[in-house]
Amino acid sequence: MDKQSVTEILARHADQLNSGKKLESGILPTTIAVNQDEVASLLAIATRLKGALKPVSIPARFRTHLRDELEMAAQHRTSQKFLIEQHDSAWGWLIGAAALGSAAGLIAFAIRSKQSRQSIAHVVPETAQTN
Amino acid sequence: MGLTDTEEGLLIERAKGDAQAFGLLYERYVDRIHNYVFYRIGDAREAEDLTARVFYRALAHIDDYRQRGAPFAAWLYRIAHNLVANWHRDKGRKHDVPLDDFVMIAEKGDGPDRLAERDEETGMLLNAVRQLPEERQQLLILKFVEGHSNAEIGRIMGRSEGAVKSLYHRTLIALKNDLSDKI
Repeated sequence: MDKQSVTEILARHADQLNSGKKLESGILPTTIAVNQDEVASLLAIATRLKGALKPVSIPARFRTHLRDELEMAAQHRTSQKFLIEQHDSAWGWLIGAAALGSAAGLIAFAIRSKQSRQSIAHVVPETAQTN
Repeated sequence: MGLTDTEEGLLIERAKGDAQAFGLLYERYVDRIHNYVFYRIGDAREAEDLTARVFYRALAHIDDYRQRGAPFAAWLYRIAHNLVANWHRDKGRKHDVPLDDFVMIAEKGDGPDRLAERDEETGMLLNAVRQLPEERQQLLILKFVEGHSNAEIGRIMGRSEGAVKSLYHRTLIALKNDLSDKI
């Protein structure tokens, strides 16, 4: 029996174990005797695993308590996020206003220096003429 | 709670800013995560503690979660895996298994001798499972505890269905070899 066939048989067997249906008697092709013992032992381990790995139930009190705590933490987190966002946006406005103020100051300074340069240039030739 | 991928995506987006939506996500996944953690560490009390930590971490990082093919379950299992790995590393308890917690599944109606025998067999098997590499343990838990199909397991583990089947085959062989060494 090739490896791929064995893989498929094991997968089908596991599905049957999970569905709770009675196992197909012909899951192992009887015409192929090679490796049949090997496959049978793997199927036996799978059956034992299904018997051993059963869902465990979580204690109801723990479950409810944890949900309440998580919801409280989630609420706290949401309100913190809101505060941080508010804080961030307030800082954003402040920084924006400061930047605008600086930019306006710079422009005013530039215009003023340009004007004062022009007026000096205008005065210098007059002084030269009087001399 | 049966939800389509789209509905779950919407719930996750809501949960980023709505405590009750996060509560619904918790209800949807708490049993699965608890089962996963329990079978990875084999201690009921510690499993509760780690389950709580998984959800607190998920809450802290839910803004980072983006639904890009990998389901939310895979993201939660990844958090659980990391916490379990840290737990094993910090406590150095990988080989210290409290079998009393593990073996709670013997069928009623068995006589005391049969129960003891069954407990021993089950304990040995579960110990062998816990010696497997992490992805093989996850596969067995998803398959037998959660009852997922190979396709679903593939989505959670980020593998193809064929790769999941092959991994399952190799896992059974490894278990068989391990158990035959011990008998």
